[in-house]
Amino acid sequence: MNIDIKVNNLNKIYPGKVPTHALRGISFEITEGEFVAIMGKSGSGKSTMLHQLGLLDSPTEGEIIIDDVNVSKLSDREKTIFRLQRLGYVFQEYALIFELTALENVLLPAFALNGSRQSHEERAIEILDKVGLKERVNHRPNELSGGEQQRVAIARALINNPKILFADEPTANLDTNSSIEVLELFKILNKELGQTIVLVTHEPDDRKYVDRVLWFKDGLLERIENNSLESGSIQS
Amino acid sequence: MIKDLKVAFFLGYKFIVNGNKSIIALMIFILSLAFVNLIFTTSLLNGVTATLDNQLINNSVANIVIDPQEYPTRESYITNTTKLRQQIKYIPGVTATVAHYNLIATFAYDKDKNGQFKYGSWPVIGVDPEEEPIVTGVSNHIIAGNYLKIPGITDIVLGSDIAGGYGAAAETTSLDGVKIGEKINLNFGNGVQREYTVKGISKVKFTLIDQNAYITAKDAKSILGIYDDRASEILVKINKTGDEDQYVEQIRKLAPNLKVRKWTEYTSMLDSITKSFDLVTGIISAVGLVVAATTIFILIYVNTINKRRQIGILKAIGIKENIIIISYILQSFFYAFFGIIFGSIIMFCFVAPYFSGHPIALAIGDISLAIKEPQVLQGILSLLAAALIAGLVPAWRAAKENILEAIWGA
Repeated sequence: MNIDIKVNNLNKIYPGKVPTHALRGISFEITEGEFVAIMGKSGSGKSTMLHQLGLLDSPTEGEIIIDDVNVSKLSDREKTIFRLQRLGYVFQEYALIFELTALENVLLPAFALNGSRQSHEERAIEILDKVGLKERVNHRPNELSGGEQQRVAIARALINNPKILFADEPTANLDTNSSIEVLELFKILNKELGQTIVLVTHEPDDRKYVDRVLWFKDGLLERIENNSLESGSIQS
Repeated sequence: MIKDLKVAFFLGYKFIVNGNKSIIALMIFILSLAFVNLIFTTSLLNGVTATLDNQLINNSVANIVIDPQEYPTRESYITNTTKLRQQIKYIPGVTATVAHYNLIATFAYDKDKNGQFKYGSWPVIGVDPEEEPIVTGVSNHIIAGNYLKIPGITDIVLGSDIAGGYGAAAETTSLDGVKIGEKINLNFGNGVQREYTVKGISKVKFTLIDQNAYITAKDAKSILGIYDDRASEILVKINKTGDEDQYVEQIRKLAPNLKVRKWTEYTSMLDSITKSFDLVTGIISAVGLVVAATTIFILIYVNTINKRRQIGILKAIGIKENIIIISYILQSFFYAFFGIIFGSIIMFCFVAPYFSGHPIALAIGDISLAIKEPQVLQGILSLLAAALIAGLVPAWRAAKENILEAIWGA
């Protein structure tokens, strides 16, 4: 099995009068096609970890290798292109562009990558159909519910066939039904399309959707929990 | 690069079309006013200068003034004026010439016919009533009575500031309301005394000119004791104002001893006023530009800073910084472009026609707006340049910001 993500001795220190050591020597690997959750209490470093993996922030020390590329050594411009080509990112608060319709939001990364909208429109509609929003393609974010907006954000993250999909507490602002819909969608993407997914969540129940859980505590990787979906049991 | 531009255009277009309409309308409105302010102030000051220039050229000294020689000896009159004027007339582009006879007199007016005279000293110009209207326009500004006619001996036309009672700027020093047909006594500097009948009152609305009185040249010559072909000065009118230098050179060749000056040099006080106004216009234009540029910058800066989260999101999903920056510059250009369009409509369809119909009355004449194309072009280019900077700087700063800080406003 190919390794999609390899993290070596990652440290993140936020400077200040009292520097905050958010990540302390984290190392782990995630293989291709895995659905992994990063869990822990508030302040444990789980979101900080995802920001480093999603190239939204830079670690203080250590290295991250994604798809055989040491992304820690990339320039900001190279990181932007890498994000566009190989990563998908779903934010907690949807982070859609309000001036664009659902379809345009989804199309935007493909347009930026290839310079053509028309050629990707069919695929964008297909993905929106897959996330259950075929009838809402021309609606703008303020005309969609929270769950629908999050599904548009997921569709946008998938448009460029990312190697890895990162999701930062994607259900935190959703009601129970919408949360289940979003997590079921991730499960389908993972199982049917083999999409590697890294999910940050604080909901213990979300464990049942993932293959492994990386438990964080005080900036340390406390333990790794293997989750056997077939049996429904959890092995630490 | 073309790919990036296409994406930038798409984003810029969508941000405008689907952005907050009220904010867009307000931005364009304010930029329109900034543009109007820029053009209006400079045009008004141009109007002051243009009025001053027109008054001097059309109602006072024409384009070129020829005065008697100063070196090696100072003469009081120009000799052989008829021949010289004919020679000057042959110069292509010269419209006409006139000879003037300049005097100063003390005016005495017994308003109530009770022996209580009111006095004042003013210039008196001897003119040929038939030739003068071709060169100067005082005859077109008679507000009471008539202009001089040949022979016209003992007739006088008074400027409104001498006559008084016509809303003159210098009303308090006037003769306090001379009526047409009334008699006034003039005591000239050389001791000659004459009684004149007021034939007309002129008012060009320029105090300096409205403080002149006009008698016939024949009359003036008799007062001055000139019985040959001499004159105090010769005024030369040319076809195209602005070309005076070349005519001055040619006239100097014809009459090397005489003092030949352009209208701009003739009245040093007015020349300094014109120069001062040009300087003020330049300063106000520059200040107006800075104000307009700052207005655009603040508006677009605030607007862009409010879009930090949007910029952060765009970066997070992999949109390149240059695409984001260009999209914001395009928005700035959009605001500036329509600000200029609407500002031009306000200026050229409403403000300028209004001031054309309702000029501002000043002591130098009626002031309307004098809009100069180069200044309009300068205003347009300046606003576009300001829009470029106003779009570039905040977008560049926001695009360089840490993605998470931009999105979460940390």
